[in-house]
Amino acid sequence: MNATRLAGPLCVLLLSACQHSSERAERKPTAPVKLTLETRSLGNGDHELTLTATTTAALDSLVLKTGEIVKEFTTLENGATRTIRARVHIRDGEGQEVTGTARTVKGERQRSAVTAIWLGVKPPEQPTTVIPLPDGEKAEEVRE
Amino acid sequence: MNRLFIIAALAALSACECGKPTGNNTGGGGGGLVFPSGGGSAISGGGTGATGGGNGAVGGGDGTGGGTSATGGGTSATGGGTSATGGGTSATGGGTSATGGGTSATGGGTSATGGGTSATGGGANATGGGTNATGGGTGATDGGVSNACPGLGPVNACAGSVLSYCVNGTVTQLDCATASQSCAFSSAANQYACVASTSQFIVSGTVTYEDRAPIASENGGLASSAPLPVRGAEVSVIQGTTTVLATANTANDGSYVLRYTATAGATVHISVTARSQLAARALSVRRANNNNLHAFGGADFSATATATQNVEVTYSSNEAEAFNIFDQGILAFDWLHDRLNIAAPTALTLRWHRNNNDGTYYQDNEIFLLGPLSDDDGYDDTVILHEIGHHIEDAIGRSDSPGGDHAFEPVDPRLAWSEGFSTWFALSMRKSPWYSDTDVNGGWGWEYDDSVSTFDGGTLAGDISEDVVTELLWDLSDTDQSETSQLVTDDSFAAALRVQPDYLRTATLRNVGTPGVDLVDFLDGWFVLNTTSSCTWVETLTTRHTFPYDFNAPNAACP
Repeated sequence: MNATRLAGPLCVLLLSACQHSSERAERKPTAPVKLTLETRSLGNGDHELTLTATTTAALDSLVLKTGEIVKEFTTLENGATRTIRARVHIRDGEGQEVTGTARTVKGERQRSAVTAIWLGVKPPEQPTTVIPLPDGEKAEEVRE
Repeated sequence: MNRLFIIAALAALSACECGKPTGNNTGGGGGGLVFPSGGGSAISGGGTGATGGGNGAVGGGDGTGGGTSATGGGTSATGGGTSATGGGTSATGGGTSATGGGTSATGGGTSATGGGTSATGGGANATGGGTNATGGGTGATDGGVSNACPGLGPVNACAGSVLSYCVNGTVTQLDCATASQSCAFSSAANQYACVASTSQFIVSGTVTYEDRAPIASENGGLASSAPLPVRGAEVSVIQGTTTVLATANTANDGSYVLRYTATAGATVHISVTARSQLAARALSVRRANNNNLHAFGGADFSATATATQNVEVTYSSNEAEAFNIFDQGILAFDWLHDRLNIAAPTALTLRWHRNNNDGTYYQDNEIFLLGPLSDDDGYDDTVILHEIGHHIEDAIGRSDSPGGDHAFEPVDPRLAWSEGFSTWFALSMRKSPWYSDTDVNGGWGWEYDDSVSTFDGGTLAGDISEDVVTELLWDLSDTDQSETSQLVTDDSFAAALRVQPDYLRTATLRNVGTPGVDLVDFLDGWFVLNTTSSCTWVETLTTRHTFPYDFNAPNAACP
């Protein structure tokens, strides 16, 4: 199974910087930006990465990075959208986690956000042993 | 009667397991510890199952009854004479002037003092108070865990044959060998204690995990790995791959001493599980995808009379972070126990595994934490403690937060209060003003002591930044009320945190701002609980953050 077959001819994956299963979840503090990372297979193991950032506050600076591409944007209004694109190559039979990151600056405050997608073959699951405990619970044990 | 008791006590002496004096406090008296005890006048020592007890009896096994001036008392001891002292697990009854008291002690005589965890009843003039103490006679006072031993924790510890246990806030040591006993894990009720030397096998050692501490920096990052003790986790002897032979809890220094029975030479190993079933540490760390508890197994060894097995939970196993998450829970729950006398916080489940991508958030007594290498929160102590702070709100205080995304921009006052409080809780737990959230590029950090965020929401109902809340709380709970940079202490932190259970939990709020708990209500509670002596200092703080608090707390308005 190679990366191209996994990704499909036009497989667009979307992941937000924060994924939550509940509307009322009490979430951790974040950077004032929402990220989406899309991937598109270009064939022969090549993939195009599209990182889109939408600010949730006015910012002095926004630095986006995906693949080998890094770009800084300055003086952004709340709700501004910025996009960068990059290419990555995944060898046949291999896999890689690709990331899109943002560093925001407002006044003296810096924060960062990350979103990631796995491309290609995932690493094997770690072997574990499930131990039934006397109270009916299960412990999943890793040994080295 | 006394003769019968003496006979029974002596007969049971060899079987007695010598335990820690577990009494922490109030309410009921009577009952005794699991020290060798007995019965008649001037008789000391006594075994399990001893009944009755004469005047002046000292100690007491798992017995019933108790004479005048009886001291000590065993597990499940019932009855208790005048001036009885000590108290065992599940002790019931208690005579006049009974003192001490064990876990689950019930009853209690006139003027009973002391009392164990979950003590109920209590005679007239009872003083002290156990965790969850209920009832109480005329003149009964307070309750709590004022005599906890923070460094030791609730599990006790063994060092060779020497048992360390807590008595009235002092770590006390007892050489079990002097009674021809061993120091080892006894039971869930007694934890580490002096136990009878038997033909069982014993394995001991220390369990550690590879920790990576967050760096205090605006660019985030983690320090190099260093081992920390796995404290309070379950540690088991496993035969083959899945058969549990015996289970204990690790002590606060990560040590354990386990007794087990197996065929000599059988292949066994030590497995440590990220869970505690103690009421004071009702914590578990589970995988987010299948509910299984995190566990790590050590090397195989052959069952033999005595063995030493140290276990280090490695980073490469993808389990070390689960034990770091567990340790943050222990830190928070022990603090609640030791400083706010909360012995049994609502149980908390923390969910994490490598590559868990379900976000980091708290909901309904559960915390989910990110696990991808790109944004792994398993070592982000302040992130973990921030989410535990939300649990604390739920468990002992009140939150009306609508939830939702938040950075440092002004948001709904209820959301800002809940988030700012939780960040302050995290910082105070670590006694450091640095918050950090690491990721693949280092992450970010922020120092809350010297920073000054300002409110520009207009009225008290206006949107506010959570950073205003965190910074104001941090300054309010400084060790002194001055402009100089100060760190919080346990006492100053407790004075501010106490507003949650003692005011916000039950008070009828003024709701001069947004309906529901927000910074205004906290400040009201601060003045209600701490008087108006700090009016000038709080005015300095609210002015610094341009927050228009009206200083009109119910029955505690500033002049």
